Amino acid sequence: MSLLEVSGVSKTFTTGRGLLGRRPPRPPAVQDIDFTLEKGECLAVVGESGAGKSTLGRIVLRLIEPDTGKITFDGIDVRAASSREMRRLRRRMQMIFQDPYSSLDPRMSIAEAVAEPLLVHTDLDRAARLRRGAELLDRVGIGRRYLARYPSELSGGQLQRVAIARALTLNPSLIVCDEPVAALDVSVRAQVLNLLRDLQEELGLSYLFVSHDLALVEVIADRVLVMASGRIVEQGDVTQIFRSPTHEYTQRLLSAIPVPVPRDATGRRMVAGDLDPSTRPMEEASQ
Amino acid sequence: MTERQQETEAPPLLETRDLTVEFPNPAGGWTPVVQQVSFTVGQGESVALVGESGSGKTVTSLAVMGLTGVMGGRVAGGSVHFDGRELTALPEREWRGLRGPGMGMIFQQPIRSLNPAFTVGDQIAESVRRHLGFNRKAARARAIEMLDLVQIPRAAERVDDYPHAFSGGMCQRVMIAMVMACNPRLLIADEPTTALDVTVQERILQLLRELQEQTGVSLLFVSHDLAVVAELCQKVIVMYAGEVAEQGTAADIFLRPRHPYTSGLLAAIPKPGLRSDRRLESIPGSIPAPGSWPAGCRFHDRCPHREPGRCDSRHPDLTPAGPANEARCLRTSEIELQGVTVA
Amino acid sequence: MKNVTTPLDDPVDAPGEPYEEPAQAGIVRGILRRKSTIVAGGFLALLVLGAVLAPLIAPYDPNVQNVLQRLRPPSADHLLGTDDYGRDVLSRLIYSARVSLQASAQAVAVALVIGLPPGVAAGYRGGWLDTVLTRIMDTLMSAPSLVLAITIVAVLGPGITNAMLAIGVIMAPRFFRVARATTMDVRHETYIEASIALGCGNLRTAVRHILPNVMPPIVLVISVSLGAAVAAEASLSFLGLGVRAPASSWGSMLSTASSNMGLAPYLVWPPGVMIFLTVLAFTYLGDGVRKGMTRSRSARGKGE
Repeated sequence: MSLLEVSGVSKTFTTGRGLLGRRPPRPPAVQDIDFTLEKGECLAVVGESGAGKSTLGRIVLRLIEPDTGKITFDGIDVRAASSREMRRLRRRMQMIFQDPYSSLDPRMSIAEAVAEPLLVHTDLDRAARLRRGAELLDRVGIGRRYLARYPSELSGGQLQRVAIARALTLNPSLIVCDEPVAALDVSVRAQVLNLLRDLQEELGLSYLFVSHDLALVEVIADRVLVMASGRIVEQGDVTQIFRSPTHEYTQRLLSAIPVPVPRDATGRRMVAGDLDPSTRPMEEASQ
Repeated sequence: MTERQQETEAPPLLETRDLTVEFPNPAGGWTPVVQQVSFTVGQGESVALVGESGSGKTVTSLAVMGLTGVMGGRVAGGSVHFDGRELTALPEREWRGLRGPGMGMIFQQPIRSLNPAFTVGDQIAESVRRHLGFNRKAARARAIEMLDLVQIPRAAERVDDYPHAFSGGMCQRVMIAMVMACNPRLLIADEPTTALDVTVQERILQLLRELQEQTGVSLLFVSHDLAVVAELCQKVIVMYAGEVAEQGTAADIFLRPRHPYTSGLLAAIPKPGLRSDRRLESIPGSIPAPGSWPAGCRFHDRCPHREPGRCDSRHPDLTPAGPANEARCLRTSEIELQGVTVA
Repeated sequence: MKNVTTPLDDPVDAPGEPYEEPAQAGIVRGILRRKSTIVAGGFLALLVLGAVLAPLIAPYDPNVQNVLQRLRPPSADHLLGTDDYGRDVLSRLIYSARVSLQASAQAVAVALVIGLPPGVAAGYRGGWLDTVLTRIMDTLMSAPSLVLAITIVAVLGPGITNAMLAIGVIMAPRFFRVARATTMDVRHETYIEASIALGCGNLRTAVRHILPNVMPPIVLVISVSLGAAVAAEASLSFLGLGVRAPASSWGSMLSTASSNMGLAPYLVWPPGVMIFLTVLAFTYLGDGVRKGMTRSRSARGKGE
C-alpha cells in the first residue's frame, strides 16, 4: 500500500458573482489527477505558473477542498475525515511554504513557533515543549540562540530552517514542500535543499515537492509529475523524464532550462579546454 | 580574446570608479552598502552584475541610473562616467534628459512597472513624446513599431490594450519596448526574468540578444542567476558584500574562476545531467548584511581555502588573477579552483 | 568546496541585521517621534491621574450644597466659582473627569466586545456568517446614532451605565468593520495557512494568529472612539439621559450651565473646555499611533 494515493481529483475555483449575478465559468485548476507516493519517496510536481501544482499540494493536505476524487493517506480516506480526525491526520502530513518571510507569524517568537505543534497536538508541558523546540532548531542547523528572536530578525534561509523545524516537530511521514527554496539565495538554497535531503534519509520522510525549477528537481526527486493547465501530461522516474521525455511539453520545459556554461562564437557550449592560452591558469598568473 | 581587447581600447560607454554608496542606519549614521566598485561596460557589450541578496548589485545599478537619492541613499565616493559625462554630481534636471534617450531600466516585476490606467501604447508614446519630441501620430506609430520589435503579435491591435490584458512575459516585452523606444545606449535590466516561467524566460533572453544585435545597445544585466547570465553575457562581475569579488569574461569566470566565492556559487547551481549523490555543494554560513561585514577578506569565514591569520586580517585588493580575471583574494595564485562542469 | 552536509551552526550568522529592529520597539519609537502625540498623551495621563486622585486633590466635597454661595463667579475660595446649588465647580469638574473617563472606557469596552469578535469571525469564516453579521452591523450603522441612543436608554431606563451601553452598541460597527477588513487581509497571509496545515483549530488560529495581527488598527480605533465616547456621554448627560444627580459628568455640568446661562455665563467654560481638550487629545493620540505604526512598518519594508 502506498503512503498516499490520489485518484480522479479535480477542482474548479468559482469566482464571485458577475455583474448580473452569474458565476463566470473558469477552467479547472486541476483535473483528473491520479498518482501515488510511496513511503520515503520524493515525488516532484513540476510545471509553469498556473499549471495547478500548488493547488494540488494543498488539496492533498485538504487545505483546499477538491470537487471530486479520492485521497487516501496511509489507508485513511482524507476527504471523509471529520474535523477531529483531520486534525489528527495533520500531525502526520505537514507543509513547507515558498515564502519564509510570510509563513511564520510575525508576532510569535521562534521558540513559540517551533513548539506550537506540540501545544496543539500533545499535552507536553511548557518546559518539555521548549526543549524539543531547541533540539529541532539544532537539528536544522540554526542554533538555539535564536529561540527568543522574532521572524523579522532572521534571514530568509534561517526562517526556512525554522519552518522546516516546525514541520518536523510532530514526526510527520509526509511533507508537502511548496517551492521551498525558490525565495532563497543561490548559496543558501543548496544548504536548505541538502538539509531536506538529509532529513528525508534520516527520518524516512516522503516529500511531495512542488517546484518550477527543473534543474533542482533533477537533483532531489525520485519521480516526477509534469503538469500543464491542471492536468498531468507526463509522469515517471526522474532519469527517464530527464533523459527521454516523451511528451512534447516536457521536452520544451527541459530545453528551456538555462545552462550555466557560456557559449563560444558559434553558439556551442564551451569546455575548459577551449580557453587559451592554457588550461593551467595558475602558471599564467605567475608569469 | 584579442578581438575583445581591441574593443575595449575604445572609451567604454559606462565606467564606474571606486563607487561607494551609503544608506542611513537606525543609529543615525551611514552604512556603506556598496564600496569601491569599479567596472566598465563597453559599446554594445553585455555585462552581468551577479550577486546574492545584500551583495549591492541592485544598489550599484540604481547608482548608475542616478536613483540612489530616491531610495534614500547617497553616493559617498567614486565616479560614474557615462558617454563622456560625469554623473555623480549631475543636477536632477539634466538627469531627466539622460534617462530615456541615454539609459533605460527594466525591472523584475513588469506588471508593477506599468501603469494600469493607461493603454500600453499610450505609455510608450508618452515617453517618446517627452524625450524625443515626437508628435502624437508619430509617437503612436513608434509605439506600434516598438511592440513589433519586441515580437508582440498583432502589434497594431495590441497597442490599445491595457497592461492587465498581457501575461507576465508579454508585460516584460512591453516594458522593453517602452525603454527601447527612446533608443537608449545602455539598457539596465534588474532580474528581468526572475518572476517569469522558464520557457518565457528563454524567449525574453532570446529577445534581448536579438535587440542587442539589431540596435547595438549595451546591456547591464543584474541577476542572481548564473545560469541565465551564461546564456546572455560576455563579461561578468561577481559582487559579494558590497564589493567586486571577481570580474572577467564570461568564459573565464565560468570555466576557470579565480575567487573561491565564484567557484562556490558555480558549484551550488544544479546542473543538468549531474546528480552525484543527490546533493548540491553548498557554501556554509550566510551572506553578511551591510554593516556587519567581517574584517579582512569579507568572504573568509565562509571560505574553504581561508588561511587563518592572513585572510581574516588583511582586506584583499582586486588584483589580476589567472590569464584574464581580476579577483579579490589573497590566495588566488596559491589555490586550485573548480569551474563549472556539465555532463 | 567539499562542504556537502549542512553545517550545524553557521559561524557567520550575523546576530540580527543592522536595518531591522524589534517590531514593538519600532512602533513605540515611531509614536514618540511626534511632539503632538507626546503632548496629547501627557494631557490624558494627567487627566487619568487627576480622576484617580480626585478625593485627594479636590478642594471641596463636590456634592456639598451651600445655598448662601450660589452662582458665585471664580474667586480665591472657589477657583472656578460655584453652581446653582453653591457647589464648588472645580471639585465637581475633577470628580466629573472620573465619570466621563470611566463612562467612555465602558462604552469602548462594550463596543470592543460587540464589534471585535464578530468582526474577526466574519472576516475569517466568510460565507453566510459574514453576510448576516455584516447586514446587522450595517443596519446598526445606518440608524441615526443619537436617536438610536435615546431609544436604547428609553427602553433600558436612564442612567450612566445604560447610556454607555447604548453608546457602545452604536460604536460597535466601527470595530466590526476594521476587525473584519483586517482579518480578511491577514487571513490570506501564508502563516495562517501554515497554522491550519499544522492542525491548529479554528479558535486557536483566530485567537493566537489572527487577533494579535488585527490589533494594531484596532488600537487606533480604540483611541479615537474613547474621544468620541467622551463627547457622546456629554451629549446624553446634557439631555438628562446619562448621569443622574447628585453625581455629575461634564455633560451634566454643561446642562446646568446652560440653564443658568444668563446669571452665570462663566459656568459653561470649565466643562466645555475639558470636553474639547479631551476629545482633541484622544484624536491626536490616535493619529500619532497610526502614523507611528505605518512609519515603523515602512521602515522595516525598506530594510529587506
